[in-house]
Amino acid sequence: MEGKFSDLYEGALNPAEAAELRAHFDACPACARGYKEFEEAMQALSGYRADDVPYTFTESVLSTVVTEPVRSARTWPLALSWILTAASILIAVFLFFRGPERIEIIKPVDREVVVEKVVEKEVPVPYEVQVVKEVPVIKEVPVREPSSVSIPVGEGAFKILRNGDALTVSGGETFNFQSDDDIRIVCATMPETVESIPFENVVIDFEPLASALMRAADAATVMSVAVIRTAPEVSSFRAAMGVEAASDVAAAEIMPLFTSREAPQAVVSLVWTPDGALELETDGSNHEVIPELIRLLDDKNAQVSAVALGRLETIQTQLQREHGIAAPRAEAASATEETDLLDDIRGLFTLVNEEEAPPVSTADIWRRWWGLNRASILCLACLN
Amino acid sequence: MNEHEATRDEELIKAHLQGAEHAFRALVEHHAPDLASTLERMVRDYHLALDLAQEVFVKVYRLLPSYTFKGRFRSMLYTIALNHARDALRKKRRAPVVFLDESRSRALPDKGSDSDDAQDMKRRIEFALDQIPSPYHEAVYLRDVAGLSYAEVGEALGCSLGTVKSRVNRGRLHFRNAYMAEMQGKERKGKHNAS
Repeated sequence: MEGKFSDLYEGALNPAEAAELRAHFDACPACARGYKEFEEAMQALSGYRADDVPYTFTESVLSTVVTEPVRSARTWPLALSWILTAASILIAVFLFFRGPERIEIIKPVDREVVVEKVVEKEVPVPYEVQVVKEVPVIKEVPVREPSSVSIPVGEGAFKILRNGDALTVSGGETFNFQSDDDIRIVCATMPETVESIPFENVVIDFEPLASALMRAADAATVMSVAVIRTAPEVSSFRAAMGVEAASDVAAAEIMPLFTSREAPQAVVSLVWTPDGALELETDGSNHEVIPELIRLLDDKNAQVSAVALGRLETIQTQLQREHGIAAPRAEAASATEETDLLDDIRGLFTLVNEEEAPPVSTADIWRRWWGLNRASILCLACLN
Repeated sequence: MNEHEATRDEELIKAHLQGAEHAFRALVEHHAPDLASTLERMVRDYHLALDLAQEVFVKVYRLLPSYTFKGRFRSMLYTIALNHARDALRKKRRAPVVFLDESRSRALPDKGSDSDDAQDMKRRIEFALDQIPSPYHEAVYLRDVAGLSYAEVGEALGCSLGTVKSRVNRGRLHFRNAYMAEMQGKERKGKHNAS
């Protein structure tokens, strides 16, 4: 019901839906009170205005920009385009007679044509009239340099988002990336080693797994996320449970299971994925909460099938013995080796090895030069 | 935020492009408080938020000559602001950890322009806003404080309309819970003082 509060408040429900909801309020005092408080809170929020910035703020902004005149658009007279064309022909002729061996010293580049929209404003005209010209501008885009980093053996496994795509890299493996890739290490079995990994020219952004999963998954159907962090732990394991009717289980009901405990707690995140699975990540010291969580979900008539992965023998044994839920590695339930954990993690994610960008050969340079100057050279040949 | 304000922004931009000296100042003065407040919500650092807000306005100043007047100025402003905030958070190389059991009160200069009751209400609302966990608080702030439409919030945050609506609603529910707890605490305090 609370999922519709905003729609009701903003008048986004159709009359039938609104009437149904209000009828429910008549029958359910708790929901009615909940919506009344929602209205009251929203009305208070609607009257909220942020504090003013310090009086020096505006002056500081203006002092930075005041020396920059309002830039009028540059105009590109037609004659200039002819000059540029003539210059390119001359350059082509020069390069032709200089020979291809000179090209080798030129840094290989990719060229792309970028169309810039230029607003012409020659005289103060009524601003309703704007002349927009499209001016082709050749921009040189340097070839991306591939890079790689090797994860030392024994340093655990990392879940990495590369340009939004999730992949796992484990100890002893090499991770390849481009220099302008957006790299985020989002999860590590040994988080304290993240900073020691010699990534260069990429950004390391170690953030909670929940946030990363929400971004990587189709977040439109993620229904609830709770992130609780108290004391960090070194190791972590992951339990993934399939839950139907997950929307009936509010994060507010689950969170007390973790916050009410006296024992040191660790990072816990709960994410409902698009296919209705409940993914929970916590560390070993919290394993005793998992059966309680399953009981809570059972009480909500949620169909639970649990798959517990990780190094902890206890949770796997508990799930098997007490709930009849088989762990995928039952035959290795007693294993606590690091390699077992890494294998489990690999089983969760598809390991993708990116191919390195192909090196630029002399033939490539020749082809590019010919492609750029073919028209000019043929014109000259015809004139001759 | 209403169409009147959107029209006002457009008129100021046009005046600025015509060379009116006061126009850009008026834009900054109008949008700076909400913008700085939103940035502070994201980066959890008041002074950094002011620096970022200044960078955003400088960038906007340079972009205005090519402004196409499609879409609202406020939407563009907050899209740029969020990108700057994300870059700043990346540079800090620190995980955006959410501590649900901590109170995060803002350390802002007391302007003293509002009455005590109004100031008290403002602080309670801000405290309740601080209790909204990420990523909901960004969505609520953009929708309910900055006044962006759902579509504009989605564009600024880079997520779908359904996700935005879900986050806004959940954020509002968190705000409600925290706000009502604050108000009930205030009532109990008032009764205690009266007795």
